[in-house]
Amino acid sequence: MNEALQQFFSNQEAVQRTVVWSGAICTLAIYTFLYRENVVYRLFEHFYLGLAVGYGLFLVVSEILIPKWWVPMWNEGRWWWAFALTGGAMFYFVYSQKHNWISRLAFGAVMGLAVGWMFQDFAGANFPKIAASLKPVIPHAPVGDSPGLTVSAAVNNAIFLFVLLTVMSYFFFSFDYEKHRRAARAAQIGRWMLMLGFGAMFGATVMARMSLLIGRLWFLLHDWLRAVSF
Amino acid sequence: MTVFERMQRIDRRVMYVLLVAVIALPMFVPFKLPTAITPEVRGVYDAVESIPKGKLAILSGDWGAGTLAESLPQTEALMRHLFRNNVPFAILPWAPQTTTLMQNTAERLAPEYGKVYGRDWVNWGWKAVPMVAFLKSMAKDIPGTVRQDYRGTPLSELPVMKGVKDIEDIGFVCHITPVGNIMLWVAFIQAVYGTPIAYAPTAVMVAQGYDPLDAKQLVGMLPGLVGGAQYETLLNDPRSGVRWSNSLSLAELLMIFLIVLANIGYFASRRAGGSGR
Repeated sequence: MNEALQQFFSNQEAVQRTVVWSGAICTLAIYTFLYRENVVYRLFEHFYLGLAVGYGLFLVVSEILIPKWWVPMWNEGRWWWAFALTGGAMFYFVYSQKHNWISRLAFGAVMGLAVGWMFQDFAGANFPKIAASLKPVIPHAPVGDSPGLTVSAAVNNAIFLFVLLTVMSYFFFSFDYEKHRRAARAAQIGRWMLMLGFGAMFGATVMARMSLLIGRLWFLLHDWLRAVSF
Repeated sequence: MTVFERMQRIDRRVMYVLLVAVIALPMFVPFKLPTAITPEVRGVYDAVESIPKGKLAILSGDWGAGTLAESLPQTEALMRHLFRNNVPFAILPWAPQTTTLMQNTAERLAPEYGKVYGRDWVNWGWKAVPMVAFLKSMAKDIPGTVRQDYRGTPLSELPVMKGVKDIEDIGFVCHITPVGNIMLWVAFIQAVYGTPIAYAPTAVMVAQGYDPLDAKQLVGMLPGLVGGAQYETLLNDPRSGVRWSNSLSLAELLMIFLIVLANIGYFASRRAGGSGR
């Protein structure tokens, strides 16, 4: 049995074809759902879930625990890595009513670290966007080092500012819209602008889903059936 | 059932078959649809063209087999451009699958350009550490942070890494990803060190790329499969991106046709005195 397996795995072509056939069968089984809900789909859905969980577990052990923790601690004499076990185990006290406070120490440390990062993340990511939102709307010729602004660019900027202000007004809840009709109107336009934005995002999502189908079809036609080529 | 009602009630399975047919058609019968180059794609191309000599590029990625149809043409087009311009690059994968997929892509393309692993490109391998911690550390000390490539070879033994010490030695970064973590590159690298960052998202994530583009935090963007196709067009080297984007165009035309058809049926049946459906 072992010899037969060794012989099989030494034949790269046979291994490759088996992998492709497995992928093709899995793909077709999942796509049977498009016809209707059925037992084949359910079976392969559970295969996928099992595979994903097993793969995730394998990665944690083979890529993190063994090379980054066990080997340095056990083989390379870095005994202080043993404390990582204590730190990691502290998280699991979240399941204990009596010793729950121990987990809060670990969670607090991680949250403190994340909050520190978030300050820099927020400033670095968002402040330049706020500055870039202050756009000129009057066309002008270049002045010194400052570039000029063409009429079309000025119109673009004006549209940008109009959308920005109306959308912001939609999220400004301190107005009494019954009394301030203009503010209510701006918020209404802002809502329409948001709808346009969501429509564009939805269109992009559909495009992405089609791309996934294209990828699978290419796999079936090119890798499995060998019916098409580049 | 009238013809107008039929137009609104086409069996979804018929639509699926039509969809598969229009997507498969360009795979069997290659043809070329016109490709307009958008400024964001041109921005990535120009940024690669202007990488200073002697600097390393980074192709950062965390895509997997699931988004292969979008992320592969983007990766392949960028690698071709870097190989063609003799720009050394490092693959920085954020997931185990990406390590293999990007390495396989580079190994497949390298012989066409006479490139060799270790001399012309390197794969830093998946490090299984938080992205922020890695970026902050890498910015100050690349050899100390990365240490070894995906095979376990120390970076000091790879000619491509000679003289690469910190982020100042990096001339270009492109993050190829189906998830929304591009702003970590922007906040912790571009905002601090001014390194040119490009973004190659899947189409789902495209919307979040436009505001950093507008704020000049990104030099450009390859939006999904279409972005890969445009880049191939700029390289004058149409490959899978162009071919698959033809399938995408036909699929979208079919969807628009079906939406219009159903709406014509709806309004026509209302006009004929019914209640629409």
